[in-house]
Amino acid sequence: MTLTPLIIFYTCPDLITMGISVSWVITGFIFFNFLIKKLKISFIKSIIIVIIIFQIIYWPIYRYFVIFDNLFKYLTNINYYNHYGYGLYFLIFGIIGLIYYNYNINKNI
Amino acid sequence: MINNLITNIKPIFFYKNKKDRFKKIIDIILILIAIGLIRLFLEVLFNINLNGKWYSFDTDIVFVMSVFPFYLTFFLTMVTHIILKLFKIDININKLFFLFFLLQFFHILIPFLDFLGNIFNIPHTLSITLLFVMEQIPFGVVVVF
Repeated sequence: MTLTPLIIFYTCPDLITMGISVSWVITGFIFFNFLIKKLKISFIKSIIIVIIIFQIIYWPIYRYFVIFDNLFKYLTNINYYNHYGYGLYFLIFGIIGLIYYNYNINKNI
Repeated sequence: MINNLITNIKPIFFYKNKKDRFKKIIDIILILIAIGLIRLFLEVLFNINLNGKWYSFDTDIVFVMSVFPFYLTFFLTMVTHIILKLFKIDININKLFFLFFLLQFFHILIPFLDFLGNIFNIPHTLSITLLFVMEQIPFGVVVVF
């Protein structure tokens, strides 16, 4: 996650600003610390976990959003380019996450 | 101060019955939507744009920006919880959710940092990247010939 700004900067530089890069670095640092210090996971394991999560988050947000937009445009026959498909992707997967959270909320460990 | 803030926010995640939980989840969703909209408002206020035009009050962009923090908290908690389970690490999902909920407040910090980046001319467009140079070479060659 801390490498995200660099990767975005070299793959799709239109989307990176200073704020986005700094916030990715800080979140990566906090999450990495959370894994190592709070959960006491080994260094290598936590790197692997962060890389997997990064792959799942990075590609749809910064690369595949055009696919969602075009799919929405194709399905609704709207002539002009819009970002409703991108938003719908966020909404649908957010709701899936919400359902998962509700299902697991009572399992106290 | 931060500790006080955390102790005040923490009770949101503890509830007595299902009605309470439902109300609190709706509160959390409203807070997340508000975070997204505040970020969009500040980005428009500071006149910051990505790739020509992104931050504006068009309905589709308002929709995307309002749903973005909601997606990041709930989807990220799900993904991390599943991956930690695959690594045989059991953790209470509330802890993960609380962490990702707090991390969403960085959205409000982003426009200010973008504003600073604009003041100090820190590049965030195609100017110095390797990809840009590689893309420009064939075009340059065509122009020369």
